Amino acid sequence: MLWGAILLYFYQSGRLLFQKNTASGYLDISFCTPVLLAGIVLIILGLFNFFTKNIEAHCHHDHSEPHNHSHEHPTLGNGSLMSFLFYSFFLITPITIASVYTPDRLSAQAILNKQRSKKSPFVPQQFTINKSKNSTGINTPITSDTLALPAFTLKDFEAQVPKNENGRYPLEVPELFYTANDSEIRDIVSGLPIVTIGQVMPKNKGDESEMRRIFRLYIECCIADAEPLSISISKSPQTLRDLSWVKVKGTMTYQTENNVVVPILEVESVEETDKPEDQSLY
Amino acid sequence: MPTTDPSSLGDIFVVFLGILFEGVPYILLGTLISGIIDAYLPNNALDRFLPKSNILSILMSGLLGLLLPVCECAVVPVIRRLVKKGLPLSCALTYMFSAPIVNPITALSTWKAFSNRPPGSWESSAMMTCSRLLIAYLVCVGIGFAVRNLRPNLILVPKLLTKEPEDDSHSDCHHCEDHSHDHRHEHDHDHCHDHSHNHNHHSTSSKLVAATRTAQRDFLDVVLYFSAGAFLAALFITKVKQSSIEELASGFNTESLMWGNDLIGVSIMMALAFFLSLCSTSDAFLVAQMGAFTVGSKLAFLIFGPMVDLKLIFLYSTIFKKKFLTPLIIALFFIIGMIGMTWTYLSLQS
Repeated sequence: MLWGAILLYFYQSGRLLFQKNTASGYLDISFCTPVLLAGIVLIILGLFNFFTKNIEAHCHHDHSEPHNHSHEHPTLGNGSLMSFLFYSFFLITPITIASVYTPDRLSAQAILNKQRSKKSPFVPQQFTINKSKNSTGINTPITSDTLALPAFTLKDFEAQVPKNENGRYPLEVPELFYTANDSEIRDIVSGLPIVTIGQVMPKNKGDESEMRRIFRLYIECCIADAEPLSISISKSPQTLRDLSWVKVKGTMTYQTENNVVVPILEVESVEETDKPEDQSLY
Repeated sequence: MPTTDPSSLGDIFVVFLGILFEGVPYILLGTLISGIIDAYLPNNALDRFLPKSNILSILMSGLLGLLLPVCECAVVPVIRRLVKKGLPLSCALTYMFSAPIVNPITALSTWKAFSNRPPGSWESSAMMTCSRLLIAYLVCVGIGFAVRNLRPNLILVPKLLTKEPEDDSHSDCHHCEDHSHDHRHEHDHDHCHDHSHNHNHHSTSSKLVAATRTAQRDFLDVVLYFSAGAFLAALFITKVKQSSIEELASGFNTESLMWGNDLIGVSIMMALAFFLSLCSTSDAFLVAQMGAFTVGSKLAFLIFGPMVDLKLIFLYSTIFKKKFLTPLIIALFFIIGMIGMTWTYLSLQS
């Protein structure tokens, strides 16, 4: 019942779900209904078993008769008091302490630890740019058909990413990251005026370079698989706070490091900004 | 309840709870099925559905996930109960290891993850999906064959060794409610005896009580181990730099046309799968994007992870003896690793 109550509390309080305007949460929305149902079922199960505790059921033999085989009862462990206390402690304590003291979000160090290698660039499918001429959106995927299409041009790119009122192309950080993976798109995007919003990635210890990284947290299923998708930004002010939200204006450039093409946003201006509506990407 | 500021310990709590919230609903589902099986499924009823031939039974068990798709967390309590109900161990193990991979949900997610990826196409996506399911099936069937001549007492924890009483024509006779008549029946297993004790003919409600008690007991039993695994996985996920592990793994992946060129890469990818403890329905989305890794090391990750990971080790310890579990895991590591390296070799050849 405690487990059920905790599940229901996190669901009901809204702390469970990654929500708009919050940087916290545990699960993608598709996993939230199972948590609600599990919470309800666990409480019903606990109550049902509590109110029927005096009904004998599923006892396969008569206790008055000696038997020489082991027997499983609805108890924890081997049925002894010590075993019961041991099981109860480890069933109750960790989840209770974690529920009380959880900050609902990761620290800067954990974000840094979860960052993937530059050698294994991870870009979710929805952040790839469609090279189809007929595409109307950036989120439509590349297929084998589109790979065989004629050369992708700036006009095709602009059809998917229109300029904003300031003449800049607004792109998400993962989209900018993706551009490095495709030489055709890279050639087009290189030198274009870009504007993007992201969080400032903490620096590794001993990293004295003036280059910083900005990231967006991407979540597939739950916070355990969340990972920061990041790009480098040049000439960032030293005053930038870790995990603060910044709007970066600049032009895209690319460098090759150890045979890996790395996207770098050459900064024209960096300013702290309000959190976007969706602080995590799915 | 106010939340605290992010901290080193707080990171572990967050990821620990995230894993619990993701996994507990499916463990509960598994334990509810376990309770229903316990109360309503007559012992050895599965014998009627499985072919008489042990070989055919194992081959069929490897495909049961296509009909009864369950994830790796949910399958453990179900298997515990099915083993107690008389499901042959060889079939139980085959189903337990294959169901999280050889099922339509995992097939679909693998397909989706590997499709639309440069330089991918639907052909490469189909290849990866089919390879994953086929190789996992063959490995699981291999496990089934390997254990079919082993005695249960070498494999199972003592708690599961006691087979439940045989159902006879009085298949409802499970309860100890007082009756006024003496009853005599025979069991055909090792505690077969004549007895004339108080016996029961239980009602639908008492079966329900039995089912819910079993479900609750199994849930608490399994979730205890799941918590321990989730905690260790959270510790790893938040405290170990994943980029350094990936760089180490990819550093050993070469494109040379020599078998075994990615020995360390494959090994590290499997170790990564072990520690990350990802769900089999979502792991492909992460692996598909790891451009620096060989196809064989990705395949090894996708096959090894759903069979053996940190949280599963704890769950498996509710079924298997350590003396059986440890060699099994080591064997799986080597077999899947060899398959992964062979796959890389073949893909480079072609």
